[in-house]
Amino acid sequence: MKSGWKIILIVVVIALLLGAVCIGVGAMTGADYSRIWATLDSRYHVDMYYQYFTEVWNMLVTELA
Amino acid sequence: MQPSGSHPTEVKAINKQKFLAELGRLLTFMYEEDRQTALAMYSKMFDDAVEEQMLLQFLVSPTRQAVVLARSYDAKERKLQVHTQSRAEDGYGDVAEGELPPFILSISDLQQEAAAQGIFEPVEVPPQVDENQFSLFDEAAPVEEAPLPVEDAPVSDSVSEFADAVDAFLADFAIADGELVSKSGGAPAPAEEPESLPAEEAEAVDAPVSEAEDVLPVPVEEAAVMELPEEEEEQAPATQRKANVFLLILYVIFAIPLGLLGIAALLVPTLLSLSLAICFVSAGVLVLTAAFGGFAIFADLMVILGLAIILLALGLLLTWLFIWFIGGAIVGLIRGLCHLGGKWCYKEVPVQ
Repeated sequence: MKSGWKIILIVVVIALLLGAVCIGVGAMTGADYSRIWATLDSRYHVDMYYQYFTEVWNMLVTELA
Repeated sequence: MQPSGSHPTEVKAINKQKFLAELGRLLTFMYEEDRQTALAMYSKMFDDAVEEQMLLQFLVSPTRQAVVLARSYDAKERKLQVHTQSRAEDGYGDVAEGELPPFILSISDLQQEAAAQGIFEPVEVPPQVDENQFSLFDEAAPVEEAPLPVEDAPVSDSVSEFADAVDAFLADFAIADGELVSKSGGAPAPAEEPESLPAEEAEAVDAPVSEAEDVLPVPVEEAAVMELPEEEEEQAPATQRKANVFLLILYVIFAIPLGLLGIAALLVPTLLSLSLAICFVSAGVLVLTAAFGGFAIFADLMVILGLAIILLALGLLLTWLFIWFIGGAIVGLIRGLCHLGGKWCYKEVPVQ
């Protein structure tokens, strides 16, 4: 288990660093986040899921508060 | 066999009695008479030695000497040889000098080497006698020959030299149950437990015996002899685990509900990590798919790729967390409860 944790953490850290580098490179080369969001929404209806989860979260906060 | 080196720790720790006792235990692969003969010859060597420590350093260890004897001893040939000698003594033939058992010859060689190194007391040289004096003896009445003292015998005449020593030794000691026991009713010879052999010694035991097995069919008992120290090491004071039934029942009554509560408490983060892992991995796969299907601009593509890698990495971490909860935390909790129960409700009781 200990060696498993070590290997998984190394892989995760490397992947996170690689992802951060990719995002950084994209941001520096002129990525447009609204355009990305629009593309994802047109493909997976991301905005609909986002609004649904936001409503559920607000409802839970209201009930629990 | 010339000793290649000395083992100071072992040599200092033992003396003649301990050496012979341990050697006697190691020579159980030999016939009883041969073993006692060999022990008597070694005892004689100790008696003749100027300093016991010098001889012990020369012999190195009982194990080494047992290996030397094992290489030169074949039980089947020895049985045949004894049968032939008994027939010769009955008048069917003469006992040839060349039919001496090989183990006696090997001990004799050892003794000669020791004598050459000056370990034994110098042999008293009989006074030079004039030839004429021999003629006087021839004419004189036959004088009863007094047996030569063993110390005065030549070193090379090993068999006749040791014959008296064998008898003397057998008169004083006997081997019972693998231990050297004094026949005089006194305290038995010190038969301490054999110390654990050093690694070099163990190798020395294994290697020569295996070589000897290639040359001579060594008796089966020999293997048991070489494993003797390990068996004796295992003879630790035996204990038995005994359960306290009342405590055990009480523990089971409390442990099972508490264990179930603990498992239930651990199942919450387990299932949460599983659901989150599924979400992250699914999202990562979808984003990765979208990166290669819906984006044409390099900058956007890089951002989406980076996002997909991060999502997959978090999904991998959560998946491992789920595995750890299942295989580590919950199983560890059950094992811990069992171990705690064993520790509290069982105790070690010496076997009577």
